[in-house]
Formats: sequence, C-alpha cells, structure tokens
Amino acid sequence: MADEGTLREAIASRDKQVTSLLSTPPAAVKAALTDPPYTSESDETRKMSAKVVVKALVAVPEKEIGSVIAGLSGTEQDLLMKYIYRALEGSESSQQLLKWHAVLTEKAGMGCIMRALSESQRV
Amino acid sequence: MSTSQQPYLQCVRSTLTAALCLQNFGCQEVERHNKPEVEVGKSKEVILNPVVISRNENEKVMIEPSVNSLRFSIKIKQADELEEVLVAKFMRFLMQRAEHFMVLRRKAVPGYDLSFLITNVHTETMFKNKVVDFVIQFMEDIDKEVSAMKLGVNSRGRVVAAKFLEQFTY
Repeated sequence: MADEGTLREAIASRDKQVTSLLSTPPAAVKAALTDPPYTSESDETRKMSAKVVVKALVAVPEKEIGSVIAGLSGTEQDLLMKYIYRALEGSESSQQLLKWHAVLTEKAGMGCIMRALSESQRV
Repeated sequence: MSTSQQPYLQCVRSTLTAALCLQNFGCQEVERHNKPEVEVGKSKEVILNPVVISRNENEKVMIEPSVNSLRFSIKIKQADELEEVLVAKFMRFLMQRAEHFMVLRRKAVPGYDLSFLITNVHTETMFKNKVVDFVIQFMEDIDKEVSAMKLGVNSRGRVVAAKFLEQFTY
C-alpha cells in the first residue's frame, strides 16, 4: 500500500519523463500511461496524474491521434479511456479530449467505455 | 453553433449508449421489491462509476449508471441572471409534468438543472437508441429554447416600456 507521498513522487517523475518525450508524441503518451495511481485515496493525487496524461495528449497533432491509439495495447487503451473521463470532469482542454474520445471509441469500441464505467480500479 | 457542439454530443451519445445496458435486478435488502439501484445508493457492487463530461465550466453532464437504472443530469449554460431565472422556471415547468416524459426525474440532482432517470423497464418497452436520440435532441433544443425565450422577454419588455412611456409624451 503506497501512501500519497510515494504516489505523488511517482507522478512527478512521470511528469518529467513525459515533458522530456514531448517531441515524440507516441512515446510521451505511452510514458504517461504507465503506473496509474489505483490505490490513491486523495482526489488531488488523481487530478495530478490526469494532468500529466492530458499534457501528453494535447501535444499530439490531430492527424496522428489515430495512429497513436493504434499503437497502444488493449489495456493501455482502457486506461486511456479512464483518464479521458477523469480529465473531462475538469473543463480545460475539453475540445481535444472530446476528439480523443471520439477516435478512441471508434477504434476500441463500446467495450472500452463499458470497462471504464464498470471496473472497480478507478484511475 | 451546433457544429461546435457535435464532439460533445457525440461523446455523450456513445457514453450513454454504453451505460444504458440495463437489466432487471431485484432489491437485495427487501424481498419482492424492485428499486432503481442508482437512487437507493446503498449497495456498492451494483452501482457503476459515475462519469462527468464537461464542455466548459458552465455546461456539463453527469451519468450515474447502475445495474438496473441510470441517472443523467444536465447543467445548462446560463450566461446571466435573466437566463438563470428562465432556466429555473422552464425546468420547474418540465419537472412538474415528469409523468408525461416518463424518463424525467421530478427533482434535479443537486448541482444540476435537470435529471433523467432511465430504468430497465424503459429500455425494455422503448427502443434504446430512440431514448438516447431523445436525450441528445433534448440537450440541443434546450439551448435554442432558452435563447429564444430570452429574446422574447427582451422584446416584450421593450414594447411594454415604449407603450407605457407614450402617455408621458405629447
């Protein structure tokens, strides 16, 4: 059971990794999707984690969204869907997030949305 | 106006289609009872993760699914006080006639303007895609109606004021 401090350190290091990889969008997205804070008990930690993912997603130009998603594994796509819903709770970057949601639904299907709704491991 | 709304409505549509997989599920606490589990809120295992989809700070939608029911709450864009009053009155009008809508909830969830409660009975008797179409169409029409009402109030106010002040001129 990692406590909030260790989780936040992990998120901060993931943030640095993503920032360094921003020039290669697919790698940045993959890096942002590692190590989700499933055991976190604080809303703040989860929001920080979602911010890191949004940073990676926003850096991808529109035309490449499809190819980035195609490069993700099934588990990563599910995790991405969960992050998109978490990030849509706030109101920043909603236009881009909605674009990502549309492409991801097309590629991964309704099952992806259902898993985001029903899995007890929430991001 | 509607083209900028399209991604938002599309997202809501696909989430709603996925969340509307409802089936009959009897109450676990009281025998022979059948309650919408999202309203009871007591058993954690039958309630799924709630999802909030926001377009901006003023407009958002919350979808709370469960095994046999779904609660869909809308927060409508209200730019100024006049729109707030108009929306409040309009929603009150609709919620008083909730029986005719069948899927409308008589009270909105706190923090939102209007709520729908869709249960497995509704999905069994009605086409699921038509229910989703109805909700999305509702969301589109609400914005148009509120702005039309606002224009109506302003123009009527102008006419009334002009007529009233006529009596003070020669």
